[in-house]
Amino acid sequence: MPQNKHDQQHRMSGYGGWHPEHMQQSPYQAQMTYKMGETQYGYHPHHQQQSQQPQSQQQQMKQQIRQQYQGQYAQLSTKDFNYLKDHLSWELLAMKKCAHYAAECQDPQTAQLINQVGMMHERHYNSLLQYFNPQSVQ
Amino acid sequence: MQQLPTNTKEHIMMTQQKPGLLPKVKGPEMNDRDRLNDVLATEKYLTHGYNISCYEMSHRELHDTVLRILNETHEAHRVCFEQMFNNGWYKLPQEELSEVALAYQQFQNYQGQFPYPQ
Repeated sequence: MPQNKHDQQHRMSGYGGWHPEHMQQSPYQAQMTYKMGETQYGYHPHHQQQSQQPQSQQQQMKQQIRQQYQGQYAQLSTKDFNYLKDHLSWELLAMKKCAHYAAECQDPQTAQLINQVGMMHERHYNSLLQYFNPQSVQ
Repeated sequence: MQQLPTNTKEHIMMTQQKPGLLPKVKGPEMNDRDRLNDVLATEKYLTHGYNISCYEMSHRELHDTVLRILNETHEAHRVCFEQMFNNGWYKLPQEELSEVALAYQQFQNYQGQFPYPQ
């Protein structure tokens, strides 16, 4: 049942589950590393193998994070998590837009107002980001 | 921040544009009014998203945070609108009093349909 394997893979991923790369992992690999009800740390044959392959630093860091939180769950539902990611992207776009417009404005009063709005978006971004911090949401 | 006049008459009278805020000859480039209008549209878009999140979120604390952000975004939208209004960038045509009076009578009659006894 490929559907089940996919589900397992998804649940296993816990904190790192969002990354598209993870979805590319074969169901076989997922079964290798997933054991029901067990938090797994430490040595894993296929992780060892993967780290020997040439990888960019960014990919190595992602791998590390996945290993660190493997088998653990955040106090966020998948749905809440997806909404939050959308909001963060929109807030980022909004603050960039405000900064850009404020710099272009002719009227200093309008520029100041737009900057204030932009800084509000920055605050909102930071408040929402806290819900992704593994230290506070585990 | 200037306050939006609450008096209806003042509302209608503030359609006069403040001189010097916009270029006399408008070209394809964006001016301050366009920029502020776009920020206003962005705030509208964001409140729409947060409103949906608010009733979809299961996490209680997250819901409260989103509700607070929703309120603040509404506030930012209002402040942008007031700024545009005060600059005379918003025109609000006045409704005819006879139309309003007719609607008053019509909806007063509907009070007879109220399900709760007065």
